[in-house]
Amino acid sequence: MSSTIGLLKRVLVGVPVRSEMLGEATLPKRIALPVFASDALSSVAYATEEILLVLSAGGVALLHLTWYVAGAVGVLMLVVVASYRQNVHAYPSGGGDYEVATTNLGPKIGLTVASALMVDYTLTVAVSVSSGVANLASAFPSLNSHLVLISVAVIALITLMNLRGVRESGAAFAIPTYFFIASVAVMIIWGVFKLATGQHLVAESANYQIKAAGSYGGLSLLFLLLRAFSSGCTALTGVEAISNGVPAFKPPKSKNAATTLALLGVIAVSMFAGVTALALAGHVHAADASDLVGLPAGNTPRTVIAQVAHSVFGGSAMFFVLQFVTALILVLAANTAFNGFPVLASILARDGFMPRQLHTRGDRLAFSNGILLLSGFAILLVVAFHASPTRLIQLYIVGVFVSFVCSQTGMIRHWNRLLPQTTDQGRRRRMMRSRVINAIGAGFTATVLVIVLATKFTKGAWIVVVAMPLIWLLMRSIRRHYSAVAAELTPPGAVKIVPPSNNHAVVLVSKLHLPTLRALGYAKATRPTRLEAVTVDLDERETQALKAQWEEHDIQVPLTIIASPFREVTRPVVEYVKRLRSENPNDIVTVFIPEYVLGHWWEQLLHNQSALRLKGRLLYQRRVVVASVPYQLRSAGAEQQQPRTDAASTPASSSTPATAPASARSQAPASTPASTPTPAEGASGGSQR
Amino acid sequence: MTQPASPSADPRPAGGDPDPNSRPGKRRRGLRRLFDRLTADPDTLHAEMLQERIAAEGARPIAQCADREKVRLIGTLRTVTIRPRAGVASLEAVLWDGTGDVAIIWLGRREIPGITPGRHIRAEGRITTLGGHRAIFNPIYELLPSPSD
Repeated sequence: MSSTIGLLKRVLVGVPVRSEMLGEATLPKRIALPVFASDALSSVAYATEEILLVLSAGGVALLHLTWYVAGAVGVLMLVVVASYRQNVHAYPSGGGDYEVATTNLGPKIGLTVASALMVDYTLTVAVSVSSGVANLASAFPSLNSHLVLISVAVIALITLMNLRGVRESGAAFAIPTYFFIASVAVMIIWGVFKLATGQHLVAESANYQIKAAGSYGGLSLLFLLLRAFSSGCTALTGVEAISNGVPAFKPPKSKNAATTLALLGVIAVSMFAGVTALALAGHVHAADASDLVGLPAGNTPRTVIAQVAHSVFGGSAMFFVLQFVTALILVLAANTAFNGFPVLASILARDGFMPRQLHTRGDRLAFSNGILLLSGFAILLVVAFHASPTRLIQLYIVGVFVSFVCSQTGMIRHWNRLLPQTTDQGRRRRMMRSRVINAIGAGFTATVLVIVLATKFTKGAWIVVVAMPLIWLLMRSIRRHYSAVAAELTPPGAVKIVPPSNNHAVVLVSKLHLPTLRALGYAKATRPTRLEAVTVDLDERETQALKAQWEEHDIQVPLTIIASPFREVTRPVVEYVKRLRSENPNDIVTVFIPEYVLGHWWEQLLHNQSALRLKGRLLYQRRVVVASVPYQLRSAGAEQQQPRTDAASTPASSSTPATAPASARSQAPASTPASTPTPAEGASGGSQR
Repeated sequence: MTQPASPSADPRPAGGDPDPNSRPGKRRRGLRRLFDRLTADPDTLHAEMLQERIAAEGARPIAQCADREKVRLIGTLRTVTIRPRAGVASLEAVLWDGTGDVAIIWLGRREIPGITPGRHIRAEGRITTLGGHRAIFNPIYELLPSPSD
């Protein structure tokens, strides 16, 4: 490790992993469930709360309607799970909704799904982390004033873990997820037991009154219910994670994935139902702090799951355990987005819709750039929305439902396409059944998408509605750019290698020092048609000194001095090169730039970067090649390399005149005895002008 | 050697000149001109200044010179090339007058005092084309003060 930054990276990210280690680790169902399901399961922590929050707008009176809303969400969950079981069987390659939509509905719809998913992955991180931190703050109210900071820190931590490449380490996921499921189960059973034995559950907010924002009846009540429903639909996010992860399952992959999906659906729905039931039994009243009458001033109301836990367990250790596990699983849920987003981005990059860099794996075989991109946007969202889950949730799930609808519609197309080709009656029947399930899924999710858009548009969903087409257009234009470049680079018809008829070599000289000599020697070794050295007349005295040295050592290369009335280096050289190459369209000009390489960045500050700038300008000149001839100073670790590089440059001229080396060596720094710079000037080939 | 180009000849360079840096002979006035001067790169301004001098000195713009014609040119030396002692002794310089450039080659000399890059000179000789570039061999030359003097 040569640099401090490199050392820091090594400490944070870890030792690079070799490519062979990539081999997919397959997961048994019991590990796959927590790995892929933490997102979907974690929604339990906030779905109930969001329903209650929306209904609270109509005051306490409306809270009993929660049941219907929660019931609808549960049914929807089962429908979506059933539909995705068909996806898993039909597309086991792990391309997920993007692949389904691209294959069946064309690349444009595929891109729509991709942009929707990208928005939603980002929101998953933001929502889950904010909600997790909110739950932590419910256990430790003193944290309430630092929510944004903690959320950002948590995202940074997850990012770092992912950069280290822990994505497939099952145990890290399995334990907290099962612990969460177990804790919630204990809570539900204990709560039901308490209720059954005649005890009462009383949430701390049970006595608070809610300022009704208005009276709701008829259509407005329906609208409010729909809005509560669409907030509750957050429980559905993450279902698609399994369909993206089919390759990671142990064979039979599709069957195992489908079983896991079913398990996920059952567990998520029962947990959701249990928490909602206990919240209603304990009369949890959730609303904005400002609307809660009876809340001590300055307090932030606890999250619903915290209140439920508190009413069941009191202030016992179990309450803190549950809060901690809830926060943990929410963090894990954020982590699933870190699994999904980089993979999706890399697939898109492979298809040319995203920058290529997103397709390369980092030191630890994770898609580092995708991970950084995701965490950057998630942090942006968390900061912009003050880590408020309720506000973030308004943006959420639009994307998920867009991708649900597209993929389910794609699945209908899929079955329509396959059915005419299938003759086996049994398989036909199964396909028909799958088609019905997918059609129901498509119908449901489309309805929900409309509801979500209608009820949340003004609350913040418009941001997503604007962002998605922008991302879509961006990806299209990236693709167009890549295609245009590829088209321009493709050789027409017969491939021919045409060597330039003349190669005019120009060696840039500022002083007659070792790097210059090496460059001159190298330029000669390339056997150019013509060779000349060029210097820019910046300082009369230096130019004279150079001229004198040139004469004194009788260097067999013509030296051209370029006037620079405005004391520039770059422009006169570029103009000169332009003049040289204007003769013949098949000629080429090679500009050799001697450079000494410094070992430390601070040393660079002491040397001007004119060579770099010149290189940059010359790059834009047609038929001009820039050859950088490096000379490593000892600070750049030249000690070890010195003998070898010099040995390499010696063959450039074997017929070194005896007189020249002596004089040149006397000028060379005494500390580099190994270097024999004279070959450059020694060759008698001279210029063939 | 007498100079065939009469001082009354149109001193402004013709359009379609080969040097992309020099401005066509249109003169702009007022604010537009000021704006042009502010945004132009130094080479363009330099070219304009040199072109004005062509007119004043009654010389021929390089862009208008025909082959094998005796011309009197005036301009600045952009480059000066020193040849190694081993080869044919010659000194080559490139003269630029804002409309184009011409290689000036003095045979038999390896160095001429005063012929240095950036110097303003007047050169008279027969112009020709050598390897795609204009060239004059062994011209009569005269060192001039730089235009700012």
